[in-house]
Amino acid sequence: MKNIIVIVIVLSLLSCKEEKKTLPIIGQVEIVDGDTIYHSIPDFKFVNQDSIYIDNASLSEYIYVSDFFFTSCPTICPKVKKQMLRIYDKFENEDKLKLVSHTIDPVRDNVETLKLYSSNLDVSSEKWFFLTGDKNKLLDMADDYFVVAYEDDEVAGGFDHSGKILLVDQNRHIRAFCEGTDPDDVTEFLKDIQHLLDEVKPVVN
Amino acid sequence: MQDGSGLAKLYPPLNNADFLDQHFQSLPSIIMYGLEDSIVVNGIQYNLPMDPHPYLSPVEVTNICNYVLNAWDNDLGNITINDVKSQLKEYRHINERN
Repeated sequence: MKNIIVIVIVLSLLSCKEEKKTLPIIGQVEIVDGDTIYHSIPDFKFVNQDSIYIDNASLSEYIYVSDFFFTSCPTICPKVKKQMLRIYDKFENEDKLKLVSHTIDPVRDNVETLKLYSSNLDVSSEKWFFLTGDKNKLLDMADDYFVVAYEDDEVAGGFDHSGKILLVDQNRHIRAFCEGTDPDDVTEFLKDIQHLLDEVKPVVN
Repeated sequence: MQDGSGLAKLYPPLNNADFLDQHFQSLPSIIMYGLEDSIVVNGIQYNLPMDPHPYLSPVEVTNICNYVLNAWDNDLGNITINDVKSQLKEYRHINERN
């Protein structure tokens, strides 16, 4: 009897997989007074490569992919940026998606440097924001995206950080992530982005 | 990137790069001491400075050079550790400037 129950459960799980995929909300879940509180991106306000303030309200109608980097990074950033550019190219005409790259080295990466960087990458500053601001706030922000980022004179470039790329929905929840240094992982992530776009866009008949 | 293709106008290619062909002998000092000036590679100008890599040993620099010079489609010969050492010594002043 037990075996049959297990088989039934497995089959029902398999059939769920066939249906439209709903991405999970990533992060710690808290129950406060009976309400379920999911991890969300806190308030922020940084400046982009066009000297325009970008805050939560600027992104409230969009889903976005996010990463942390610095322009003089001699290690993984170029690889991650290549994958970010891949995401940009695939969804260039998708109005509901933005890309948000945060520098973790704002002393060197001022607005001017980020402008040069994004121009050389040949991307639209309306679609892909390169953000700079207060260093501690940027590093704290990385924590909220579960990205490791801290200053370390011992490592090449002066900052130790991971190369994760994250997908955030309109309610500030992280819904998917990938290793930006791994092209195969990013291929799967592209599908996650499409799933979330399908989820947030009303079906047109 | 792994395929030596570079990235847009940010990072120049290493594969089939005319700059590499022409500046073969400067490669060790570029790797070790970085580049401040803009360079033109295959007709495209690149402005992003390249940081120095002072933590590399001459052996490591030699290995990187010989990899780059012969990876992908490149067939630019080899460089010896003695060449690398004398080159790094000659251009040491660039390091002091940085």
